[in-house]
Amino acid sequence: MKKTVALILIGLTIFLGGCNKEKKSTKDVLHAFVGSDTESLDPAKCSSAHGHMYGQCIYEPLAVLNEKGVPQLAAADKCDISPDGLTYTFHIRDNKWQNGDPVTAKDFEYSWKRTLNPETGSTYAYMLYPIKGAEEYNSGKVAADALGVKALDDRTLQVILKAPTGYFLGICAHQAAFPVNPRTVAAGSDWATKVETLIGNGPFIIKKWVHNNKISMVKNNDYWDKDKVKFNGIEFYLLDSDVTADAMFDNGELDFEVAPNQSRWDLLAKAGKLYEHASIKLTYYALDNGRPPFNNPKVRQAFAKAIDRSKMVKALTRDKFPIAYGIVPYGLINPSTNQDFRQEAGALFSESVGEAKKLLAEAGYKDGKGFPTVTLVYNTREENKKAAELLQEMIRKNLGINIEIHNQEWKVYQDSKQRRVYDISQCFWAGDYFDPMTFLDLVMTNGGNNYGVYSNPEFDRLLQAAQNTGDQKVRMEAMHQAEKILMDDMGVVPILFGKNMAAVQPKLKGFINPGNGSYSFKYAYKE
Amino acid sequence: MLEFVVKRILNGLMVLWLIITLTFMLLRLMPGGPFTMDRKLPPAILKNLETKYKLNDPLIVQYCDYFKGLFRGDLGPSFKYEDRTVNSIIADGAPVSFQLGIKSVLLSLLLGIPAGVISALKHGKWQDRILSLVTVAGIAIPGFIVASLLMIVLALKLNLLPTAMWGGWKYQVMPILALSLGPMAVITRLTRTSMLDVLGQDYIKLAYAKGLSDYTVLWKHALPNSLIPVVTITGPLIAGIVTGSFVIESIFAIPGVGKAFVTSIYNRDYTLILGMTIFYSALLIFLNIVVDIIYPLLDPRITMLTKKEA
Repeated sequence: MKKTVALILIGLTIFLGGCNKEKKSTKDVLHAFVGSDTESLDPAKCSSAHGHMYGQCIYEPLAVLNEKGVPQLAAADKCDISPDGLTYTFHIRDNKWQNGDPVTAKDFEYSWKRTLNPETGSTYAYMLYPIKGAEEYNSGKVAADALGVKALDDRTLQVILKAPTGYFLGICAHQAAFPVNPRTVAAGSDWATKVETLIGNGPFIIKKWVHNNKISMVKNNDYWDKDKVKFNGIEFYLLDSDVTADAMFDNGELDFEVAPNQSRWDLLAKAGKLYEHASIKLTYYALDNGRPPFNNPKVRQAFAKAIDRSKMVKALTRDKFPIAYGIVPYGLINPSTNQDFRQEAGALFSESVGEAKKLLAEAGYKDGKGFPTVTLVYNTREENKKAAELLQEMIRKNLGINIEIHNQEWKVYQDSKQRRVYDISQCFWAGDYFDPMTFLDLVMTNGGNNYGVYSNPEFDRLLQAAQNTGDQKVRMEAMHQAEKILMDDMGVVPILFGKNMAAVQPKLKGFINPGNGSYSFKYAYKE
Repeated sequence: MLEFVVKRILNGLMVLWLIITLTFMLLRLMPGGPFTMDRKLPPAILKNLETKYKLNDPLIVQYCDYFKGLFRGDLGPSFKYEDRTVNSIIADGAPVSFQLGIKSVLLSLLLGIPAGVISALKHGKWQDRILSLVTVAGIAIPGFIVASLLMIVLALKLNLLPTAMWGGWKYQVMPILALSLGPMAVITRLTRTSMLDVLGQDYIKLAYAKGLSDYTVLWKHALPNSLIPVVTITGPLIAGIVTGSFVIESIFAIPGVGKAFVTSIYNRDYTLILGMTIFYSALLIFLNIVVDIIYPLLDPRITMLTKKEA
């Protein structure tokens, strides 16, 4: 009896041992995890960052961003900009849709009109507002033909802007500007839910989409730049659990894993598998400028100076993320000087507990006496909790001020922020495009995302000047001045800038991160 | 029997209606809506979206529209997953969740009942003590910890199984094990207690006195009665496993319907929340009716409610 059992067990082990041969990554197929399932692969309706990443394999816009966040022509092979910066004339490259249709300028006109059509309900339609008539069309005030987008012929697309917009070519790389095939879209409203009708013009064709499981793509052998595309296929694993992603990466089943758990950073770095890159993201606290006590700039400045940011960066990001002494992150190039905007601006304020105490006293709250207890809200996440508790402790210790911290579920927190329920809101912003304006216009008077209701007419004037000229030297200078004013006023309290972290198998090369975590695998390969 | 079933079904429909109405109201009371995002949408776009999904209609109109759709079998479009309908989301995920759920329940029953019987028959002895230890661990340790442990040991260290995803039997071993361990432990203990209780009854003593074999006493007399509590919990157990396997599905990237249930609330996806609630409630009600029908087959003393009672 015992012999039989033993034999059976041995047999089983041999049988099972040989079982798990597949699923280890092969050389010509990329196995990547960049996020969970996306709500849609229709570029006009997708609003997630990972959805954008899947989308940019399938669709090709007029331009794509390179490693420095600078747009390079893609679906267009020529672009003429008029001297006044208002008219862009694109020449569309010879390329085909994945169903054989030629890609034409009319397709782009159709797609952009569709994105801006109020009935489409696109959440990123506002990205195209620099175009003449776009905001009005999207608000239902004018008809589609008032839009400054016209296909002059099959190969020529003319775009007329409302005002010279220095970063417009970069916007053409955003998914709001991705083209869709008019014929497949017209054939059925669920075209984007089935792989047979999800037709793109990009380097990869989507072959299979199992929700919450996997997206499988194969190389498009009719793509115009196919010789530079090295992978024959991509498998995107739509994982919800970072434990699973970590395990799959360690097991060799993933070549690329975004945002590995912090606890693994050191181990990954030692093995040469940790990737890090500055990212245009900002974590800040919005203080309510519209009511006491934070309506007093001295109080806000005291608050900002009393925070030990290096302590926060160490505790929250293992000392990896950059400290923010301004609101425009690293990674945005000033085209007139070719320097990084943040680096040439430098730090716009400094920490000093002594000065903070002095400012607080000048505001009439010496050592925090008489200062009301203020409330803070953050959305429920472990890092945010840590940050809030650190802040609470620092402010109490350095200024004698009590902060009552509250955490709320995501949507409740958004709602509270918008209704200005709390005195302090922890906020987070990821840049939409590669120009300082995407951060600075957050705090324009009456801006939709200006939760702390900061308002300074001089700041607004400088930003408006920057929005109405194409002269990069003038714009950048105006934005530098505006940022300085904002930080002198301490309209919002910046804490740290972002970084994209990823786990990458050493053999994987050639992927591109323009500086916002939107990885492109078009030219990637495995050694 | 038919009268009973019809009565229970009508009752169930009433309960379902109540659940839908309550959920509908509660959803609108929650702060934040389907289009509350981290960037405040320009008012024009927000208006477009609300018009598209008829969120600007008076509540009573939205309520009636929803029921009109229900009678047609249409659970409406998802607010979050553009262009997908709630019907298609449930149709995509439910079969997978069912597969995972039914196999887990079967495993729990197949191993749990015999384990409980053995435990009862050998109570006090070493078999019982070991099983008691194992069941306590099974009840106490959460499913997701078991899942992670299994993943680390069987996939990462021993390389016997793939880490995650869904497919042939290799992919199903770990999720089913993780999902069934807890219920298995519960069923074991329940069977044990119930069987011990039954074995102490007079009619069992009588059966032995009549000279029936151990086997006959166990199978024909003791077991059917011991199973009544087990049957009672099996109904909700199935419902719970099938739709509550969210964490396991999340860990193993299984394309089931559990994720839809939980993230729909986070997304304030009103139609999907309602759809999932209806799905889960209907399943639970149906299983409870089935359980009620099975009872008398096990114990003729339990009769269905007739006109004479209540």
